[in-house]
Amino acid sequence: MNGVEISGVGMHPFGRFGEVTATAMGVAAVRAAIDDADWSIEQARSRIGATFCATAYGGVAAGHRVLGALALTGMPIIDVEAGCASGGAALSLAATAIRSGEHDSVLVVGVEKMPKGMIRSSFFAPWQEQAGLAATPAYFALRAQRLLREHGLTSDDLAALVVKNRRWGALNPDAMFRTEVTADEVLASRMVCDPLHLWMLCSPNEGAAAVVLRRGDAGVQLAAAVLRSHLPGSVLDESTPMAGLGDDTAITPPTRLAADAAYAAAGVGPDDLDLVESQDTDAARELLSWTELGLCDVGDQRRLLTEPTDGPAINRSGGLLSKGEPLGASALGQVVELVRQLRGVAGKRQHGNARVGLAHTIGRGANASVTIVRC
Amino acid sequence: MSAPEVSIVALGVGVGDRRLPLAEIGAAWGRGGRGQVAVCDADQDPLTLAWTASDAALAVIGRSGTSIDGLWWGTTRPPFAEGPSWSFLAATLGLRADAVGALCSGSTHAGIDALEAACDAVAAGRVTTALVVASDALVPGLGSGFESACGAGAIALLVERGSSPAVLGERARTYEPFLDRYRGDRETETREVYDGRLFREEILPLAARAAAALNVDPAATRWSLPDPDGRLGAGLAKSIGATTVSSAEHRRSLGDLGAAAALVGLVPALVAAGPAALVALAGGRATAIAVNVTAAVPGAAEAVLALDASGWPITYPEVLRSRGQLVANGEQVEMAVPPGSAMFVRDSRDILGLVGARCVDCGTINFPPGIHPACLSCGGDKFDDVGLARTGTVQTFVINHAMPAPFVAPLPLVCVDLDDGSRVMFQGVGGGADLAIDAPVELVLRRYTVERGVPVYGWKVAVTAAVAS
Repeated sequence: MNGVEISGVGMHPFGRFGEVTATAMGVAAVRAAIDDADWSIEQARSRIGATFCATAYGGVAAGHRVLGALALTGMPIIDVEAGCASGGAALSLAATAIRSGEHDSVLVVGVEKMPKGMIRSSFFAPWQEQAGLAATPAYFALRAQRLLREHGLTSDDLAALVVKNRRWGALNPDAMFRTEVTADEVLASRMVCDPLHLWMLCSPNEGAAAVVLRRGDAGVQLAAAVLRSHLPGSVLDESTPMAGLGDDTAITPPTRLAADAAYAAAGVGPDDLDLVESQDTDAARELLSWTELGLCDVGDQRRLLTEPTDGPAINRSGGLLSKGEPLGASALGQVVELVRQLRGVAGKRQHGNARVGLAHTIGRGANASVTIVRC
Repeated sequence: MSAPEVSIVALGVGVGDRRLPLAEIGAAWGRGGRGQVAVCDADQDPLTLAWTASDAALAVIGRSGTSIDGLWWGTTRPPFAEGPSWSFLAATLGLRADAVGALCSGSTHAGIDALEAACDAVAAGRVTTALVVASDALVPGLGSGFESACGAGAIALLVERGSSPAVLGERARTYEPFLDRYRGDRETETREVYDGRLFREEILPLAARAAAALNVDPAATRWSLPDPDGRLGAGLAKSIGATTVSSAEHRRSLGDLGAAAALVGLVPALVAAGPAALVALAGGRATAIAVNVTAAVPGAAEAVLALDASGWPITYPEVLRSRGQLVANGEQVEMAVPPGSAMFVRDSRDILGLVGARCVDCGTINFPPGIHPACLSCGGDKFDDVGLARTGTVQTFVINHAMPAPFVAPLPLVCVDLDDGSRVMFQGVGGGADLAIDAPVELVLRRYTVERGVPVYGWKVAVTAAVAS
C-alpha cells in the first residue's frame, strides 16, 4: 500500500454566517468528513495521527480550537498559512506525512472567517499601504489588463466566464451565490478596477472544509499535492511588491511550476483530466490559469467558453465566483467537490463518469498549489 | 571694487493643477464671486510645486541636481512647520550632498529673502550655481474675503555669476512694523487685516517708497508689483509712474501666489530684453530689485505657457479636502507614521531621489534598494547606485474605483517600463482617464498623503502623450 486515499470529505457551506465562529464551522466540516470516512469520533480519536489546519485569518492555534471542541487533541496539530493556497499546502504536508510512513491517517481542515471589505494583509509594508498600492483587486486588474491584450480577449470573455461559473454555482447548495447571471448583468455591475467589474471578483467570505487521508490504494486517490512559490524575478503575479519589478515574461509562473510537478507525480497530463477546479479569484485569473495549467493555448480561451469541447469540465462547483473565497478553506473545498464528482454523488452538477480531477489555487506569496485526484 | 554681477540663467514655474472658480466660494457663503484662482490638487503642496518649478528650470538648460551647490527656498508654508522640509526638497532634486542654503519663511516676503541670500552667496563666491525657489499654497480662513485671493504656485531660478541674460541689479528696501497679513501662533490659516483705506494710505506707500528708490525710468520698466486684493495694484502702479505691469495678468488668472508672487510676476518681463523690476511687499517690509534683461531667459517662454495653462476645474469641497480643511471622520486605513514608513528610515533618500540599485551580475535595477538586499532577478548582492530614468511607457495599469478612506477614488496604479530598462509601480496622477498600455509617461513628484501632520512624498506617473487606440 503506497497510495494515499481520500477516505472522507466534509464541508461547512461557504457564505456569510453572522455570529457563527470559524471554530464552529471547522467542527461541522470535521464531523462531516469523519462521518464520511465511516468512522465514529472515537475511531477518529484513535486513528488520526496528525492534523494540519489551513487558515490565514484564524489567529493563534486555530486548529487546536477546532479539534479541542471535538476532544480530538493529543496528536500534533499544525496550522498552515500559504495565502489562497493554504489548503493545498496543508494537503501537501498531510500526504507527505503518510507517504513518509510517519502516520497512517491524517486530518486536513481549512477554516476561515474573512474580515469584510477589501482584503487587507500584513503581506504589505505600511508604506506600501500608504502609497495606495496594497488594494488587492488592483493586482488582479494589473494582470487582467495585460491578459486581455496579450491573449486577444475582451470584457465579454470575462463576463462569459462569470456566466459559466454562476450557472454551475446555482446548482451547488454549498455556494454563496446560487443564482444564474447574464453577461449583460455582469457588465452592468459596478466597475471596481478596470477591466474588472464587481461580479467578476470573488467575494471574501466564511466557511470550512475537511479531508481525511489514510494510507490505502482504494477509493479516490490523492495522486499529487504540490505547492510552489514564485521564482525570483516573477513579479506581476500574486507576489507583486510595490516596486522592484522586472520583466518576468520569460520566467515560469508558480502555477506552471506546481502543475508540471503534479502532472509528473501523478503520471497524467492535461489531456487526461475530466474535471478541473481552477482558482477564479477574478474572471481573468481563471482564463490565465487555463493556459498555465496546459488546458489550452494562449488566446484559445474563447473557444473553450463558447464551443463544446472534449476537454475537462472546469469549475463545475461554480468556482469561487459562486462559492466565495474563505482563504484557508477554499482549496480544500475544491478537493471536496472533486471527490464528490469522482464518487458520482455531485447531484445535478455531476460530470459523467469522471476519473481524474485537478484542483488549482494561486495567491498571495506567491503560492500556487495543484492537487490531482483520481479513481 | 564693485561686487561681481549675478544673473538668472534659467527659470521654471509650477502651478497648482486645479482652478477654483470664485463663484464656487461665493455659492458656499451666499455671495457673489468672479474670476478664479489656481489651487493645489490633493497631491500637491508647496514642496511638490517647488520640485516642479526646479525640475523645469534644470531641464531647460540640461542640468542635473548635482550641478547645484546651494538651495534657497522661500515659502510661508513649508510642509513641515518644523522639520526636514529643505532636505526633502534637496533629495527630490538630487542636489549635491554638500549643498548649502536655507529655508526662508515667516511671511510672503520669504521668496525675496531667498533670492537675496542666494545672490549674495553667489556674488561672494560661496556657491557657483544657486537654486532659488519660491513656492506657496496659501490656506485662508474659511469664509474670509481672503479666500478669493489665495493661489498656489512656484518659481525656480538658477542664479550664477555673469552679466547676462538677466542681471540682478540695484536693490532698495524699507519696513514699517504694521500688521497686514499674518498667521498667529498655533493657527493653521492665514488671515489678513483687510481694510482698503489702510492699504491705500499706509501699506502700499511702503512699496511705492521702495520702488521710487530704484534708479530706473518707471515708464520704461516692466514691473512686477504687489496686488493684495486684485484691485489696489493698479493704484500702486499709477503712484510710481509704471505703465507696464508684467504681474497683472497672472495675478488675475492664478490669484496671489504668496511668497512666489513677486518673482512669478516678473516672468513675462524675462522673455525679452529690456529693463524690469520687482517689488515685494509683505510682513511690513517692501523690497524693490531692478533686473536688467539682456536676452530672453531660458525657460521664461515655457514658463509663460505654463502660467497661461487653463488647469482642471475643482469644486470648493475638493479644495477644502486637499487643503486639509475638510477631513472625513471614521475609520481610516492604518498608515505609516514613523518609524513604519520607508520615508522615515533608510530608504527615504532612495525613494525621494529615485535611486535604484543595479545588479553588477545581471544588470537588473532593483528599486527601492532597501527592500532588495538580494537582486530580485538573480539573487546577486553586489550593486551600483543608479538614478532611475524619469520617462518610460505604461506596461500595465489599473484604475481603482473603490478605495477605503483616506484614499479617494478613482485611484490609478501604473506599472511603468522606464527607459533605462527598470520597471516600477506608482500611483498615477489625477483620475487616470488618459492611461493606456504603451502610453509614454514621466515620473513627477507628488504628495501621497498627510498623516498626523506628516506629509508623505513619492513619485507618480503622468502621461505625456496620448496613444492612438
